[in-house]
Amino acid sequence: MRSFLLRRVLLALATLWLASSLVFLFLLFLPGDPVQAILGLEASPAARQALERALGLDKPPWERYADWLTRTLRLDLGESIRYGKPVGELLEERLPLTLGLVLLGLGGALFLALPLALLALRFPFWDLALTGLMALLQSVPTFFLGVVLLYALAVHLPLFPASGFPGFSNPWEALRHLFLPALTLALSRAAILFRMARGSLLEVMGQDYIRTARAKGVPETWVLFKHALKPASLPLVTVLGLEGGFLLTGAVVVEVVFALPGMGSLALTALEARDYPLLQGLVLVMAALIVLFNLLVDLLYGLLDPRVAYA
Amino acid sequence: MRSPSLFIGSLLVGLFLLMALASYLYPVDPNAPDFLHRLAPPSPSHPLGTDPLGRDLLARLLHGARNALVVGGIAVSVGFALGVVSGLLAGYLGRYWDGILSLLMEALYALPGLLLALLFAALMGPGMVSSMLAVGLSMVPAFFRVARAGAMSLKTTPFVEAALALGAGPGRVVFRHLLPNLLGPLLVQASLAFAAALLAEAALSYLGLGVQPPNPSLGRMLREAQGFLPLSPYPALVPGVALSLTVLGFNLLGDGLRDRLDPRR
Amino acid sequence: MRKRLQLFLLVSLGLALAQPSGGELRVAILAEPPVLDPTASTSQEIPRMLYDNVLQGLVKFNEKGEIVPALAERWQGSPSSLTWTFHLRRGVRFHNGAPFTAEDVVFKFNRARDPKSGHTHPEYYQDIQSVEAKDPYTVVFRLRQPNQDFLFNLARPDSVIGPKGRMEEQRTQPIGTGPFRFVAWERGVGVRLERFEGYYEPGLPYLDRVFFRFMPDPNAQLAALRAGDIQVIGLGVSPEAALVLQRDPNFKVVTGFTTTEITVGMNNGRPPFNDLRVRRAIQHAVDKKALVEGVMLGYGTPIGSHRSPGESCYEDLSGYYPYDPAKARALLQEAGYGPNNPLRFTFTLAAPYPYERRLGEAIAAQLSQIGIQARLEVVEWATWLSRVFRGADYQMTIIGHSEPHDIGIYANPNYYFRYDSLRFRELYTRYLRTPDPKRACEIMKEMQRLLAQDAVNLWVMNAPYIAAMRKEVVGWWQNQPTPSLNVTRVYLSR
Repeated sequence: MRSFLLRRVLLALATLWLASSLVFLFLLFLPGDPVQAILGLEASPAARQALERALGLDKPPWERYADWLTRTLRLDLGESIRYGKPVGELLEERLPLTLGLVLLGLGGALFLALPLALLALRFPFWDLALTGLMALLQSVPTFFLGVVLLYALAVHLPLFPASGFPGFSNPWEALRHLFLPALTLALSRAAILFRMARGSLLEVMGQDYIRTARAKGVPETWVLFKHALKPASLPLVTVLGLEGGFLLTGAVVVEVVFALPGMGSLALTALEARDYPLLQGLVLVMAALIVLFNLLVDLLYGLLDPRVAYA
Repeated sequence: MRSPSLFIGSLLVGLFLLMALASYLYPVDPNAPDFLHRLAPPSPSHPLGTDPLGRDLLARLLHGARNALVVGGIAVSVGFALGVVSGLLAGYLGRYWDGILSLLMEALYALPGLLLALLFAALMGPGMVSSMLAVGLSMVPAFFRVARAGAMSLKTTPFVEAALALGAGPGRVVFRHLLPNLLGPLLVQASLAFAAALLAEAALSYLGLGVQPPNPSLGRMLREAQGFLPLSPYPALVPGVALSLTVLGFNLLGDGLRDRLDPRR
Repeated sequence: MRKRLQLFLLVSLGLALAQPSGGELRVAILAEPPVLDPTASTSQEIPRMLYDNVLQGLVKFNEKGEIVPALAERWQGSPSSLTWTFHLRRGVRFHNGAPFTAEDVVFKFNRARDPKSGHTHPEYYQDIQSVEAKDPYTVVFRLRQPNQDFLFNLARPDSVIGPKGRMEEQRTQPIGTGPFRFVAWERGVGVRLERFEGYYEPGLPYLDRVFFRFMPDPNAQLAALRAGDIQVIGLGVSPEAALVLQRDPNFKVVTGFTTTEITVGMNNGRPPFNDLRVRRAIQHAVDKKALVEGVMLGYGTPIGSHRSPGESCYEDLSGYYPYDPAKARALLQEAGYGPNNPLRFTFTLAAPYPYERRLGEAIAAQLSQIGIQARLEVVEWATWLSRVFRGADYQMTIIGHSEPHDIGIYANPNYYFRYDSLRFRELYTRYLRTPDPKRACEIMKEMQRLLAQDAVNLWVMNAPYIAAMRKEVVGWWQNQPTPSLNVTRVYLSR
């Protein structure tokens, strides 16, 4: 178990290193430069040179890579060129919103998917309707779903704010602002969880001990809740983890629809400004989150499913 | 019917292919504005109405479908080619080949697809090709996994061992013996990937990184119509419904194929 | 007496009703600037939020583009135009409580004219030989040579004055003398301003708080306006959206002129546009009126040279090359192009600018009608800056030149148009060195004519200023003589 964990963590670190180095390499080929993006269209050459030196952009690529690597190993993400602030600070400002959105979206998806899957299994008429609806929801572009919800529940019926995020200091306001974006994510991702839950419930319902329970005269609803739900939720957990990584990027579009200042808008700004330290920091943090989600899934899977042995 | 999803999926995908083909037959220019008829409801001269700039929605829809075909085609081809070749090699050769390729795939998987799209847009200019390369690249790990798992499980089967005993080289084994036997699951993956590519294109178009105006893409049309939703629903409904049904079609097709190919059911 | 009192009460009541003070105004703008100091970046978003609202100079532009007093009460130039004396307003305080005196002015302009200081436009101030404080409220500028643009440059956002000695902090926490003081810059979210109690103009401003929100997505802006999250979309409302909002009784659309010349830039240093006949053919081949009507739904004014109708000494040259496809074809033939050898080039569009994008596409369509094949290429903004703007590695492009009074760029042969004209440079120098405004104006008009004659670029139109807001927002600037969302006199009627 311990050696498995160690190997898994080492692999995760290697993955992170490779991923961010690939991005570093990529950035070397990009046209455009941060100096121009800061100073703007009409700036004088003298002002350009001064800023270039100050940012260390006159060094050769290998030196910059070495600088970046040693800094990153010390967990120092450097300073954003665009904002003149430490990258870590900027990420700290943006990450809570995106993470909150992802977690709320995932929670909402689960909250929708599980009861509906139970409903579908309990009543065959609902099964077809719900399966169809879920397949359709999965096929609608996320942003379109968001726009429809936006116009319905923020513009036409002004129940929720249409844009922006005031921060978590006022939890009620924060939830109000996150409700529509999270609902959008939840609706579009519920389908996968629904299918997964339905599939594994079906499989569990075919097991012998369920048949035994039924034979003993336990009511069908009780069988579903008491005997089938827990074992069937194992695969659900793993899908949930994978979805977390996926949602991290899926959230970006929703952030744009609802004008939320999350990681997505930061990435768009960073690229436009050619803010390499910020972009690198974003890549690192996003990749780390995805790797972490995967790692957790692996571990959880092993913990929950006794059939998986750590070799 | 044994597999309704396969049937409905094929039907929808067929419809989509017909739309793409019809773009060659419908003579109206999708980019020609008709300023007197902006946001017009359906009429004989504009069978599906017009968009905010007075462009014919039917023409844009058909050309959008054609572009979607290109979009999905490029993305899936990139993902398929890179993923399957590397997956088969990793699964078949094993040892350090497997280690290196798997690590590379892990790294690729850890890079958010959107970030790849942003980087490619910055490198090549935003557009259909750059965004689809990015989407394709982000699909490589999925194909890699399917191919690698398949190759590993087939490697030890008697027919592969027989081929090796008869003196077949590794390239021949991989492409003559492993690949054909894995086509089923890969086809399933490709169909699902096509659906995902269409959604990704819509999302990227929404961010201004996908198909560039004035060329119509289903995602782009949706975005352009968004601000006018309270005024006229047609410009949003037409591409929205078409896109959703097409994605649904490819998803169902993939599911149906999987059900049919899965020996357990 | 009693009647008079009643009248007085009525009048004051009426005033109070007409201009209720207080409240918060939330304004959407498209982009977030890199810093908040207009002397550290040429980003137009900085003055849009801060010019006159927070940061002021000796003089400023009013809504019509006239130069009016700000921190200087009055000023006079010597007959030779070499000595300028400014008399400062007394009792003015900065937002940090420090008094504003001549020392602040001296510090500011000594820094501005030093090319090593990192000031974005040292060239505006290079003719200043010395700047001295005669007493705490009198400043004397001495110029090396007459400069016709001296006063104009002092009114620019670049010339705003902060407390002396304060430089680095101005980038993120600007302190000025305006009616609003800067409160916070929430990165990626917006900039918050608050009423400055110590402002020198009595009764101003009316609003308590202003919140400029960065909302890059126009659709999100529209939805937020409709939902009441914001009350104003400060700029860049699309013509279609403007038409829609105009029909809605809850909203109003404010439109006027800008100083943005939407310019189809042609690389005069490279084939095919190093040939005057080709450049002239392009002018005849484009129907600007149709572009304004068709693409911009009637918003915007056709122009014929690099100056906007709202600016001083403007000469209307929009009809200099009438739309005439036959003439365009003839000119092309003369230059050696025809049906068998069509004119082909790449037309580079910058991704983030919607008006220009759309105009570019429509222009390419018009050009194709006479057989010109313009291959559209869309590049991202940073790429455009480095490749087109800095490297002049392009054939044709389109962009809005938004700086006011920027015709001087044509005197720089290395500018990305690569327009190299000795005559234009001479004219420009003569314009700058002519103290008499009337004669200078004549030269300015001649410069515009020369550019049109040489067909350096295709100047399509003066970009319209289009803002949209809720009905109750009153006092919004109709024009943009300089980038400024001026909220000094804005109030919310109830």
